[in-house]
Amino acid sequence: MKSSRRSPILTAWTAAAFISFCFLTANAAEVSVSINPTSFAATDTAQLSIQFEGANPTERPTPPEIEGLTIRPYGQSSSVRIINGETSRTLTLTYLVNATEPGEYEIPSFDVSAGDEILKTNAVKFTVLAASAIPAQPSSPLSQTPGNAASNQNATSGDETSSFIKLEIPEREREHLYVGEMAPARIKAYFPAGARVSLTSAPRPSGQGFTLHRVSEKPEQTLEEINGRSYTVLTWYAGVSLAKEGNYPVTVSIDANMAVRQKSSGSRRQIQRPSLFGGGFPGGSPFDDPFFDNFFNNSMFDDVFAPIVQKEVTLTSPGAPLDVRSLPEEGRPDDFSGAVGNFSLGSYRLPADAVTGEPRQVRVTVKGEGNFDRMSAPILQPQGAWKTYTPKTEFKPGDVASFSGSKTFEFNAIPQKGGEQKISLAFSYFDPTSGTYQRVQSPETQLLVSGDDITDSSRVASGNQDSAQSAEPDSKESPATELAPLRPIATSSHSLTPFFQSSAYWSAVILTLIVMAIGFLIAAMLRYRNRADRVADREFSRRSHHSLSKAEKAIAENNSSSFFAAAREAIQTHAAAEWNLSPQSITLAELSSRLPNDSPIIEIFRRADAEAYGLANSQSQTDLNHWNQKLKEALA
Amino acid sequence: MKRLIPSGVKIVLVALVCIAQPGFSARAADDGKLLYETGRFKDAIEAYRSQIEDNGPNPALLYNLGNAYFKTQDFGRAIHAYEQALALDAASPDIQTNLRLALEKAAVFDSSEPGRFREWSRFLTLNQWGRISLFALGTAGILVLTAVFASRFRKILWLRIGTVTALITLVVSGVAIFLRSEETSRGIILEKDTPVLLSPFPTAEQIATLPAGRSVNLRESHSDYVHIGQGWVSKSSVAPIYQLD
Repeated sequence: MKSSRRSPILTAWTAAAFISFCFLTANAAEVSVSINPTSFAATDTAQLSIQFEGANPTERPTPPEIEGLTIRPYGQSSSVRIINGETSRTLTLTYLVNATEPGEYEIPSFDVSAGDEILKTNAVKFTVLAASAIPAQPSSPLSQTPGNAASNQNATSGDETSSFIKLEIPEREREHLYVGEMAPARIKAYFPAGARVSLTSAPRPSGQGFTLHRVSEKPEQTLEEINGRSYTVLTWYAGVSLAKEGNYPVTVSIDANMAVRQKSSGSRRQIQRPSLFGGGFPGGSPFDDPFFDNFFNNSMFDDVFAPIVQKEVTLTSPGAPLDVRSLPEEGRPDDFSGAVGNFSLGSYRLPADAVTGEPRQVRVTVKGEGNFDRMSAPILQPQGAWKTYTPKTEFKPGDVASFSGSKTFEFNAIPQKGGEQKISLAFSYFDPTSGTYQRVQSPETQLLVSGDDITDSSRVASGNQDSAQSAEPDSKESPATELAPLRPIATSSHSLTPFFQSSAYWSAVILTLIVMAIGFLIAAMLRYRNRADRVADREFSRRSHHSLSKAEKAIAENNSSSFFAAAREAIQTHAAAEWNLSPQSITLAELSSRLPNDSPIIEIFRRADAEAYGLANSQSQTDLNHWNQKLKEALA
Repeated sequence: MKRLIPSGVKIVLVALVCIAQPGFSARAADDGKLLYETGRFKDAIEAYRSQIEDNGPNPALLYNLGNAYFKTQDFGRAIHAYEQALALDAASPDIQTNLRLALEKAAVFDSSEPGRFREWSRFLTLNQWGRISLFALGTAGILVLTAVFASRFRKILWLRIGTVTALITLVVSGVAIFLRSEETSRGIILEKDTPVLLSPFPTAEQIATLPAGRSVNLRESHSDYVHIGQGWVSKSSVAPIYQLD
């Protein structure tokens, strides 16, 4: 079993960089021991910390055994600090320390191994007081929550089981709610920070007459401090929908598995159970659970050496009674489907053309806030002229509790009557704020339906497969509860090794990239080679070399006119390249205008012109060699 | 030439579809079906496991194995088998339906909230995305080099469209693989109330329990234990969905 390989190259680079960074910035290894608090009751627990800086222990060190003390491993934490570019890594191992007798104690220095090093810890001293010397602390959050006037300030708590749950419904102007109305709600479960808790259920209604809708699947996790005590708070958002009229409380419950110490049969102190809600709500206190009996009727310190066991607990929220009223009969529209809230018509798409008996798709979105579950598809008007089928729906929540949002309906509608029609979409809902029913209708659209009126609806149903399909229940709203049947088995075999992590995949990727890189390199080289100035340079070199070769050959043949013709060509080639002109445009006049009169080039060119026009005497081979030398020097 | 180019595009599209498909195959004998249908679910499990060991996994085998586990109320292993089947056939509604049922039965609620793209990317398996990315890379490479070496091809519209399409496909598949690469380290808790330990030793303090079917991220392992983020669990009580090299 290996961890994932997201990107081997990236991972390798990151690891190498991190190791190098750690190596370069590593400090000398140190170890220190501390205890907190340094003075505590014999019934209490202190935390011993062994802190390693710049080194990791080879194994978890075991502090020396001291009579009267129990030291148990508890946990570990690590941190990396970067101060002024210097990095230090700290690993802290924690232990729980209990003492059976009061007195002065010392944990002496002891050796711990960290890699190849043996480090020596410092000694720590602390005082254990008699239990009676410590006043009771009102640390239970239950006893200090506002509204709990009857709280017991002497309640001994601090146990990890001081957990509770709250259901919060935002205040509104009216004191009553309506049946079917959905109120946004927030459910907060409080667990003491550090408590070992595993939820075994989602929040659920614990009373009658209401339901929870769309409870957020993933609770938000935050830390809160109540009366100096830290709590891990899990927060869900949901909608509370009330199903019956009356006056009843709305409470929720949640099951959790908590690690608690097994109770001992030792001495018991009768402590009045703190009542968060002043008592007196139906169904009894949420803390009637035997678990809380155990908690509040025992000193936590009685069980400090007891083993930790998993315990199922059920937390139930308190709840003040709500006034729930039925929806009024008066003014209830015929097409009212039970939607309570505040809704409006969003975008919609009506058919642009239609033929009787042929299905057309209608799409409409209703947006707003309220119980979308009870919102039916808007009705296509005129009602008798169309046959519509069960819509496919999609709800897009606008908030975490899905209290607001938009619901889109898509359904097939088959015109039953031909001719001109003014079509529109309409729906009704109950507005709890005004206490009245509201009807929303889209503007009317003119539509010409071709074909004759349909009298036999069965023809439509049998003749249109699409419409029959759309009449099927929406799979999203009616999830299957039966196990889908076995599938026929194919002979092919697949691999559960991720292809992108296989060596074949990366070989192919690297090979492709290499081929592409080589291709780009070759293309760049060809482009460089074919650049205009490079081509001109090559042409210049070729022609210059050719002219000088001809001159050498003419000397060998003692042919004066050929030599000067070649010299003339060489000068033209060089001058043309130098001045960016064509070789033919280089004349004696051009040279004279650009070069000094005593230039050897002008002298050679003038002699070449004379040779060309037959005005010069033939030269000996020695003279030609002399001219050739002069030519080379001039062109160098 | 103009006729050839659209035909080439069609060939490329067909190749893409073929590459994304796990493969066409014939039906094999289903040893477990009769056992399953006669209610001998444990024997069916053995038959399916044996077939997987002999012939390698395929989605139908894993799915049927999941059904057999489901029938024996072993929801942890059923969820594991369904997840493996889904890793090979992401679009199967049967697998999705039965996985959802098993998760409900096991009271395991998926708290992850995948983004839209991640959700969309689950229409294909990771292996399909891998094959598509490789094909797109090769196609893009050929087309880009063609354009580089033969400048006259650069003006052909279909080649331009093909290059852009290949590059977009490459980016999309790359992003899909990147976003879902962490799935390869996922594992499923097989045993009910699996203890989570503070450290990888049998005597270590237990800090939580996990229900069967819970999805966890598998990190480093130590002797018989594997780290899952909040602590260590026994290797025998958790199984990875993917098999890593």
